[in-house]
Amino acid sequence: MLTEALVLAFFVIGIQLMVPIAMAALGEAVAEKSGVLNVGIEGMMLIGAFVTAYMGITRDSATLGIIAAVVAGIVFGALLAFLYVNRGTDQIVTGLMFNIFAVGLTGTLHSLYLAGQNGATLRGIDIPGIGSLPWIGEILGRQNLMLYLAIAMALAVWYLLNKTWYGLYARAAGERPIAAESGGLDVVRLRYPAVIVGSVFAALGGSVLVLSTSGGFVPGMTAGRGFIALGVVVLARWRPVWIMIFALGFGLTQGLQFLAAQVTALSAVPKQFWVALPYIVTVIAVVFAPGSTYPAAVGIPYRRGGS
Amino acid sequence: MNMTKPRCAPRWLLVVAVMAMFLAACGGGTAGTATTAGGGAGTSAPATETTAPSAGTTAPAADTTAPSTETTAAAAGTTEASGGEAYQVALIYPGTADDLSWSNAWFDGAEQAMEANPNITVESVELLNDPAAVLQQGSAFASEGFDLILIAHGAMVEPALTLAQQFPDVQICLAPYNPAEGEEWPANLCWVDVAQHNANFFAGALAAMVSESGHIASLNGFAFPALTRQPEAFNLGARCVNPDITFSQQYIETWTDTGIAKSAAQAEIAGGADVILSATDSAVFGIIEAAAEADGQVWAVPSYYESQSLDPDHVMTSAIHGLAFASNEIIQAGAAGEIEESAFIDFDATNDPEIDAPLYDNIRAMLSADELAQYEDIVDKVRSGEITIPDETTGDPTIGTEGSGGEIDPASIGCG
Repeated sequence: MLTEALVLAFFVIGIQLMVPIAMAALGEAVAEKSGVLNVGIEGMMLIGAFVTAYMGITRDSATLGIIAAVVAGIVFGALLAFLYVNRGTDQIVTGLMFNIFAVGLTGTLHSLYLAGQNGATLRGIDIPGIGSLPWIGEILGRQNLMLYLAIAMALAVWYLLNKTWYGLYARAAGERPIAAESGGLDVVRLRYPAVIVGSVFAALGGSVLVLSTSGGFVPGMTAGRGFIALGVVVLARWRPVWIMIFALGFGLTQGLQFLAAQVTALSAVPKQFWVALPYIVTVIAVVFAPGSTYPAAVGIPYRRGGS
Repeated sequence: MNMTKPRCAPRWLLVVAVMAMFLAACGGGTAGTATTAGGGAGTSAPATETTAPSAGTTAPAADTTAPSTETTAAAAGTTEASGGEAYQVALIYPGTADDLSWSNAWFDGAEQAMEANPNITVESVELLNDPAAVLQQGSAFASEGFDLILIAHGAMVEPALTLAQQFPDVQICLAPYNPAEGEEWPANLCWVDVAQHNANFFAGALAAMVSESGHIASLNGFAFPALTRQPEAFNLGARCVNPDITFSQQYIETWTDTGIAKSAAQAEIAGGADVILSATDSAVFGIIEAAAEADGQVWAVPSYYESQSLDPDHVMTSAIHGLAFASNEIIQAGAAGEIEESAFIDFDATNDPEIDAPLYDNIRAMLSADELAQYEDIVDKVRSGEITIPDETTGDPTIGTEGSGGEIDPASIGCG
């Protein structure tokens, strides 16, 4: 039977599942707008998850875990930027290799240092004035700080890309890097921060997975969320607000499988359908979304002088 | 202690990636080998070479030269120390030696066997989930003269059969596998089954006593008989105590995704469940977190390993499947030459004393004297065979069938 508690749980779950994907997708949007297709966000999420768990376990601090994810995002983002931008490596191959590397690195370090341990987590926070609202207060009261961080990140990305000189120049580098360089812009210096910001956001997405569950790290715990984020970016056409909306849609459709198991009318449908539903919806949306045009230079290595 | 640390499975792709990224991930051949993806992809080529018995084994053997040398040295050292003949065991499993789960339990049992018999040396390989990789590693060990290759991975039946045929002088054992009636297999191959669902039956009985809502649930990894029997036995055990208990379950299609497990647990809690069995692996952390965040008292029941320390306020019991005991017994039996030809070694609560759902002090304090007596009576009856928990090869429906735990009459197995 569909009870109020189940409906509330459905929205709580949907938002929880949204947050890590939204963060990674927002970062990816920045990188892609500058012309870099960072397929390595899945690996970056894993690394972010690992360092967060490490700090949470060894220092018992969620805050230090978040800071560690930011630092890891900067360090590994700079490494990826060096490969993508300076070395001009194939962005898809490099990203995939980075993902494999991250699986090996985090799995190894987990086995050495963190196996079987749980650390600091974040619990729901009560926002004054909202917590007492019916339904909304109940749903938001179950969400932790990372939801609000994701919302702030969406606003920041929107502002960065649309209201700052950097956003304008980065978009130029993502569309017509030769023209941008002819206009006096340094494409390399524009793409570097974009990749690093994207990596930091992805690492924070990994943090969410740790801080919202047990505080522990599980090898491979991102479970493909980075790749889902790549799809969400395309679906949302690199617009931060739509990224949040599509990530929420994905989270809710993913949450349907858990609701369906509780509701007699829905449980008649094979459970595999509910598991597949978010992906079916995503594929259909990508197919029928009108004119989702990539930034023209995305994924194409660029060398100074356009050679 | 002569047991060498679990060694890295060969992972060509990972090695390439690691070299490219200037980091050597598998340092020192220690337990840090969590490179499932790399291993899965990267071992295909060498495994193909291994299939050709004579020449093929050269490549993987070369691949494992370093660890093999370590093992030989360890074995030689043991021989000198004990004056007996070393018995070399290779233990292959899908997880890690410290995952607080399936693989950890098999590893623990191997350590116990070595403590009991200093002539035994065990080398273990972690994170082998690819049949080709298992075949490659098994061939390498067999070529090196290992006496027993114990594969703790139920999905590796084909590699086990191939190894047994290619190396008739080496004892191969695989767990878990329950052969069909009339099935034949090589003389040097033994199948091992541990009735994991027996511990879940105990946990279910306890859950029925602890649950205040009268609604218990299970979150399961994937649906196949050896797994399905676990939640079904949990339900059957609960019905042994309370025939009217409400039971719900979900297959969450993951062993490790804590986020998904937490979401599923939250949905079960919203549906009224206050005791949730984890018939999955590391994803249990998400279930425990959901229990901890719930408004009322909700309990989680982890499987495989003693897990109360994870959260004593929300772990009701642990469904301990007695895998360490089985691992220890098989290895010691092998060393003693007591594994019969074409053996099927079956462990359940009647012969595996480690199969258990321990009664923690805080739970004991919650139960009445009558309930405690009832629980102990059920455990005793299962151990003595008065209550016969069905397995996934008997009955209609078998316990390996989804929904069977709600269909089997508890009285028919000796409850009540």
